[in-house]
Amino acid sequence: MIELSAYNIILLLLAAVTLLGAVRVIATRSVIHAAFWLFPVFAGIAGFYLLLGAQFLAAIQVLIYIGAILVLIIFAVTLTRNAMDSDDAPANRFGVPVFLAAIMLLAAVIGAAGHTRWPAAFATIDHIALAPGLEVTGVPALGVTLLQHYLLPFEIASVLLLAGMIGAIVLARRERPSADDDAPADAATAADAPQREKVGV
Amino acid sequence: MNVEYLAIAKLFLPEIVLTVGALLLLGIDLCLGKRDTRRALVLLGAVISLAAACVALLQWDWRPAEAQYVRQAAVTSAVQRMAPAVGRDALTHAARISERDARAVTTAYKAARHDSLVESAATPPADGAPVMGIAPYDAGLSSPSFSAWWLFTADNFALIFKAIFALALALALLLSTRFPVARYRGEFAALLMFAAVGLMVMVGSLDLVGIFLGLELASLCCYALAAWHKQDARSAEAGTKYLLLGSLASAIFIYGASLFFVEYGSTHLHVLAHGAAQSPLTLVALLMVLVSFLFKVAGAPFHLWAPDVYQGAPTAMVAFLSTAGKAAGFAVLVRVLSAHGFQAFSEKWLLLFIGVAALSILIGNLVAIHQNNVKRLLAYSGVAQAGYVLIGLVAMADPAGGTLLNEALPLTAVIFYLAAYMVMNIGAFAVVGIVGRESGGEELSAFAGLRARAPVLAFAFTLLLLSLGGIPLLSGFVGKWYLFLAGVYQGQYLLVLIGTTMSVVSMYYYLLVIKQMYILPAADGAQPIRVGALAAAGLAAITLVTVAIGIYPGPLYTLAQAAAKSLMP
Repeated sequence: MIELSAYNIILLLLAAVTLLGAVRVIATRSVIHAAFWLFPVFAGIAGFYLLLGAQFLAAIQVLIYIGAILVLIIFAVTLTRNAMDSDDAPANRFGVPVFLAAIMLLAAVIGAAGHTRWPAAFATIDHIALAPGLEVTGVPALGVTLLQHYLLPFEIASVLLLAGMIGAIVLARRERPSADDDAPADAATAADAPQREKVGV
Repeated sequence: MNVEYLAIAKLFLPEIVLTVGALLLLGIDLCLGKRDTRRALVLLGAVISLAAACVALLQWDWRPAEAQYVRQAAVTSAVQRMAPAVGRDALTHAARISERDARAVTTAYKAARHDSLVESAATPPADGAPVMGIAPYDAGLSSPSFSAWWLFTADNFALIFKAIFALALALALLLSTRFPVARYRGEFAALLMFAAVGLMVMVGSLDLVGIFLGLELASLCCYALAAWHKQDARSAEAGTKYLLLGSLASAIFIYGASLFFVEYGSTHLHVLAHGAAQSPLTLVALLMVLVSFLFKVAGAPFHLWAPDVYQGAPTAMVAFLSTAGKAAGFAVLVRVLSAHGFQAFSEKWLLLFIGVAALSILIGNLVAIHQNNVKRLLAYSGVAQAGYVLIGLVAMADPAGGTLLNEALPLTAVIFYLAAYMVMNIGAFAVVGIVGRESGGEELSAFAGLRARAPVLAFAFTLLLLSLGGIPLLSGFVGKWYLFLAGVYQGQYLLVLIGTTMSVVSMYYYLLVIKQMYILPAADGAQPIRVGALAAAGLAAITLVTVAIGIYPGPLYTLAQAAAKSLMP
């Protein structure tokens, strides 16, 4: 049974708030409400980081997720109100079977976790020592992990961001009506007709 | 800190070529603005990706598999020695290793390094082997050069897939020069190249972190590419659907990876393999990782996204996604499964794979019969093809003992088929793209009378479809032959029976298309179809290769076998 220490009570409260928020995000019909319900989710996760002793990650979580992403989502929802406000969202016919499947998956994970022999102690981010004699803790450990051990994945992530940015710009850019080859099929044919060599295959 | 930049670069040469090439392309595209130069740009992209394919094959390790395995064995023994002491990632928990274990690891690594140096001195061309990246243990396990070598690999298995992706990319770009991709031709080519880089990172990674990053890089590009025709409702639907379902698959993968991390403190495949206790949580995590990649290869219960995405997305991107994307998914499945230590679960994942294989073959072929749109038809045929390849994966496991066979045939068959499938399927989509562009639709009726409108195009498409169906003397037949042979050796008679029966069924819908082209008359007012010179050259090369592999499969088989043996000697 779970011991009723202050730590555990806070943990359970945080979990309850996070889960409640998460359920409301997907259960509510209004997009703007869903966006606001993200707040307890992000805040709860920041709380988890604090409980785990990762203050830096908690600060980052608040700054990025609550300060930037959530605000951005709310901006986007309010600015595109007309498109998002339709009340005729289709009802999900598969709601009940999907809910049952999700419950079964949850039961499987919990059951599996219950039957697993856990390692005696977990290393938190504070206790990672990267090499004998090179003991770093806290934020420096994060830096060493990210910029030395996982340096190459970190670099690949920058390519990922670049690709994402290009894709987003192309998709979000407003097309001028007088665009030369806009409509997919015909325009290219029409525009190319003079220079196309007639290869009668 | 002594960083061996050259050694790190050697792990990533094709990726570096492609990334630099894509940046170059974007730069030129920004400077110049005319449409003609943009078309030349796409051609430049195709040349760069061909160069990347050459680089991947130049890195090929020609030594016999045993010699390559010095490094692998050293790592294995080192991790095995560490396992009782820590049972965790050797890198992040190095401080917990006892003095004796640390010495053992050092000796193992030094031995590996020494042996490989001796080996490469004896045979000069072997210089490009991945062994060069080893930094001595005492120099600090966290040094970037050591970590690069620990997280990534450039073994033959990774290299052959990198070559496949680069070739698929080159063909897709070549054939896209005249496909309507609206404006932004340069960005289209660049995103396709970044997607190929992502796939390459996936197959070269030994850590779930690297696999995830590669997966996300490739997926992100594909989401954007699928929705490229913004004004077209179908394309927008394809992009949205692919984004939502793909993100779900990614989420399932990362959930599985996090469960692995919770139990083992690492996401590295070697560590997972050696720590794989018979815990139920490991099974759940493994199943999640496998399912997310079964989604990527469009295996049967997870295939529902494929027809809609294939139908709506630009054809050049679909040609790339349906071949290279599928191959990458299978490569990661093989990489994860072949990590030693999952034998304990092989009866569990075997059941999953047999089920998915049978369902894919049945659903793919039976639903394809009713399709009226050739792109959807090819999508369902792709589901069926994924099922055939899964027979090879099933044959990798020994049904009796639950251990991986040392026999290389199943994996060789899988690699061979994926390479052959890449060529013929890109060709098929190229024809569909050309006909769709000229006739304004991809319905079956658009192909009516193609014999008269474009005889060579019709002939090439006929050969490619027959190859997809598995007619002898074409590459598809040889590939299926090896896959079914591997299945029979492993006693998967029922699966092979389903596969062969359904191959006959598949001939029905391939012949439906051929009937449209050769027997039915063209619609009134149908124009002769013009094929661009580049596309014609690419298509001719594809058809020739399909026939050549079918008649003389030896060289490709040898290459695939070498790649398979580098993974499990």
